[in-house]
Amino acid sequence: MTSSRAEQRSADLPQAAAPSSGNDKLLSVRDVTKAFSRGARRVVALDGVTVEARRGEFLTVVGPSGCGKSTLLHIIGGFETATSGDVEVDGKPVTGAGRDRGMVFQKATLFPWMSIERNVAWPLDVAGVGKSDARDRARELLELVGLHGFADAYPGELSGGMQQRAALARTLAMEPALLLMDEPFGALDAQTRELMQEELNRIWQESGTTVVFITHDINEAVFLGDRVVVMSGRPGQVIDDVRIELPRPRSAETKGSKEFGDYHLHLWSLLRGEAAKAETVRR
Amino acid sequence: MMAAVIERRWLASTLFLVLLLALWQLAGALDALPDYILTPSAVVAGLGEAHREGRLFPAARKSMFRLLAGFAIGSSVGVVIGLLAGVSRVAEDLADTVVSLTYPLPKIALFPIVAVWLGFTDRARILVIAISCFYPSFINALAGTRGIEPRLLWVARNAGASRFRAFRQVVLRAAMPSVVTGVRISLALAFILTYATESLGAGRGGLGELIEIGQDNLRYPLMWAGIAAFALLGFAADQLWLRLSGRLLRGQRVEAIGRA
Repeated sequence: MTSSRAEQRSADLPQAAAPSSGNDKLLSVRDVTKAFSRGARRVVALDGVTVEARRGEFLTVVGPSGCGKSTLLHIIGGFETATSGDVEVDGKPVTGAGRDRGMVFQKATLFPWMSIERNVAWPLDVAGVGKSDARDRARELLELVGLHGFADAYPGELSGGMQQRAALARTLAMEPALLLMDEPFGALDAQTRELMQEELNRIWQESGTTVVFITHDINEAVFLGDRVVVMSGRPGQVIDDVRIELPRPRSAETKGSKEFGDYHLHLWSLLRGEAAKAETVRR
Repeated sequence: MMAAVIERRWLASTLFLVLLLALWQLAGALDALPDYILTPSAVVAGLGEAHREGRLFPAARKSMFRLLAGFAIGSSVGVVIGLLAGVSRVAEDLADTVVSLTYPLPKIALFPIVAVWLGFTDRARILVIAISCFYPSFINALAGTRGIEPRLLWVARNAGASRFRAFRQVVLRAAMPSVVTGVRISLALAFILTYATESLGAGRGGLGELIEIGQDNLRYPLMWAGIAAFALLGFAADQLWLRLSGRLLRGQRVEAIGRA
């Protein structure tokens, strides 16, 4: 349905790979629609969304605010249910929340009453991992996200960026096959955000996990993603799926390259109209 | 640096208190106060007088016994039912209407009825104090569980925590700042209700009676001794509660007691 539109619009850019076959495919979202009633009105948040992600792939989803991209992530996470369509992870249909799909939220949702280390160890504790093993693992993860030396601090004592690092470590403790990130850097200041993008790039390459990353920031989407899925304003539909063929590891220089600028321009041309529409709808 | 800032603030508020007391004392020395308003030094003398007559400590003990018994019963029942109502729709529906209807009622108005049943006894006074302490604890415990950040529960679901574990390790802990705030209000109410029940009926005893005796016999030093004892005990109890909650709720201090 959207593929012809997508092909037209990104004719000048490399296309997303054909749907991969076999067990290479980790995530499959097929024709997902989400509608809810607001008073007497029926609001369609997602309309026939189909997305796939291969194992180890970094997928970013970009779209105007209110396009239902967070809802899509919540459905994949099993926190909300789709009105129709289905979601499979590793060939198994999603029926509820699970440790195979680790969620990182926009606002760090650390437990304020626990030290950073205990926060990160908590999912392990839930899984019945012994105290000292959980502690050792938590320390390793804190090392990975660059929070060495903050194990005994409490969330309220850390900056927003550090809290997000800790939240990421806690989610990684579950060893999810799929990491779901819902605008995790949206609440951070611009510089911290750049830094966190570089860090996430590194962490993703070290951990080799598959990521679905939601953002409304085109730069962020291009910088992080192997592929960028572009969504329209409400009702949210996939309007393009762009493969980002920037070399890795990516760094600050990547953002200055001509190719980066071309991707940005292409995505902005798609989103500009959608953003304007969303803006008028809100008024 | 933090410690220095806290020290300075503590110093400022203490100095201000000393200044107020000095002005009060000065006003007395200049004969600017009516005879029923004693100066701070005369209040201290009044405490000494009440003590020499053997009235102060027995009265304070009696009041504190009633107060703490009523407070402990009322606030703990309030917290437990509040937390239950926060997680169980049925419990909330049952409790909410009854609480809303009886909340605005001045609980001291129940004292004469309770006294018909139990007489003007310690038990009657404790019961009225407990009823009064129930409300703030209940209301805040309920609000604390209802107002929990929903994403925290998603984190628990994501990790595969059972409902019981999520309640015990997430809901309860997240509600704590609200709970200790409610209990703190209950504690203040316990002081008010203790005085109120000790100024009514027979078998009063306690600091409330001391104040009444002072007033009835125009012995203002005794009256002020009772008031000062209530004030000092109330201050001590509140500080103790703040410190205890601050220590137990590391990481949630600002939410719980309004300072880090």
